[in-house]
Amino acid sequence: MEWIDQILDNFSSVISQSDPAGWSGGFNYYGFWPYYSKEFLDRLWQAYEKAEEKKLAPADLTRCFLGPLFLRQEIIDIFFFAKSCNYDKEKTLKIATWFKDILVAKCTDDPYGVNSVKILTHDDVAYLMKMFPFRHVEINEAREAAKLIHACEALSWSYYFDWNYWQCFEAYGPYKLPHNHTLLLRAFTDFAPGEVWPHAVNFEPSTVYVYTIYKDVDVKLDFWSHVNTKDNLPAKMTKLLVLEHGKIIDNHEQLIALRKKMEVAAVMQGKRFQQLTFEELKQKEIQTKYYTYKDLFNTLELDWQPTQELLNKVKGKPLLEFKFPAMETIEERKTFWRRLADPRDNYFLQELKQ
Amino acid sequence: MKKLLSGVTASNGKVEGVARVVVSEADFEAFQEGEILVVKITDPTMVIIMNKSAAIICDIGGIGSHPAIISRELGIPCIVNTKTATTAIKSGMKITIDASGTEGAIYGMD
Repeated sequence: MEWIDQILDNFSSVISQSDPAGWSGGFNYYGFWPYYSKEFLDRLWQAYEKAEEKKLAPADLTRCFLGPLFLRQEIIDIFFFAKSCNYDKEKTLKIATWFKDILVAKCTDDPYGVNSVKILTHDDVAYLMKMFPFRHVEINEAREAAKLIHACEALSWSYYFDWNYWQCFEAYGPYKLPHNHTLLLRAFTDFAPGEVWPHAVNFEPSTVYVYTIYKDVDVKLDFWSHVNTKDNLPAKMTKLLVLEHGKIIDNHEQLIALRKKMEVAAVMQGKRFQQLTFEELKQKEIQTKYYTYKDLFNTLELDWQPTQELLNKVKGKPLLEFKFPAMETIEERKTFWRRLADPRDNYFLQELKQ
Repeated sequence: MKKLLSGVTASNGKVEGVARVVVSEADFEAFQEGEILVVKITDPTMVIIMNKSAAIICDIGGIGSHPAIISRELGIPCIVNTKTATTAIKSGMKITIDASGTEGAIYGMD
């Protein structure tokens, strides 16, 4: 199961960069997920069986997931969920392997997230460069584009939580272009999740795509699609294309207007999120988790919503109390996270067992 | 220049400017374009002031945390895990943030 090791290596590398002891307050997902891990895995198992029954190949289901980040992290979540409820190991591995096969079908390179997130082929990129109306940009407009990306990311997080935002946002690349240029794409694909946030049902734009080309940068995208670089990206941006709900943003003034609109939306949504009560937060987290699978469940003709029984089950329950072990070094944290997620390792935090 | 404190460089760069310590939403309105944001940790509701910032300094966080990701995208310096930035630095102080190495440092300017 070499692929499991590769996924675990890349996941543990990225999550070990911060010390969980410093994670400030708030809603600790690890203390909540065990409450519904069995029900969620049962639904995934149903989905797996349906796909088999309908003879749908992994490649047929790639369209149900925004991108590799979603699939990579969900594989880790499947492992964690399964250990928290002692889920059948054979079923766990079948579900995870199914997701892995969809992930491999989705990616054109580096599916397990060593240093990129790639879903476009060379031909796709060549076509894009030929046909898309990129504009040359100077530093002021490049900075504006960076602020827009930030505002869109903030809105994604405020709708989807820190742990489901890949329903709406993923960065792709780096795609190497001639003369030491590099293309990155930021895709924001669902700013109107009306089923979870009713006020957002008609939000516009529901999608924003930002294509940026840089010169002479060394940039990598990690397991979580984070852009990592020592270069000043806005300073090295040479070309830009922004699509607001499919409409091309033609000039600097339009870019500023879009940026401001998304900033305000992000602040408003962030406040709505912060004002949720603890009970509302639990409900919203489950609804959001299931919502991110809506496309998959609909394709397989399954109800995508969580059951009312499940939503009732978590009412009145506090977060499970636990402590991360003291971990001074990155290597200690890597080992911890690897063992916690590894389905072949019985190690788990006993307080999180349900 | 007097070294005030240090932390982990999350986004490279060097900037001089006026610090603005943000403890709660009540402090957002006072934040001016080009100031250096000093905060325990950032969150999405700070999007507007972060977009105005010349640099970001945080008490906690790592190179994969929210302020780190955003700072790299914005191309501004960021130092995290300083432990005491929000108490050691006062709003209005002129400071230099040097995030050119793995360890970043903040200096008070005379």
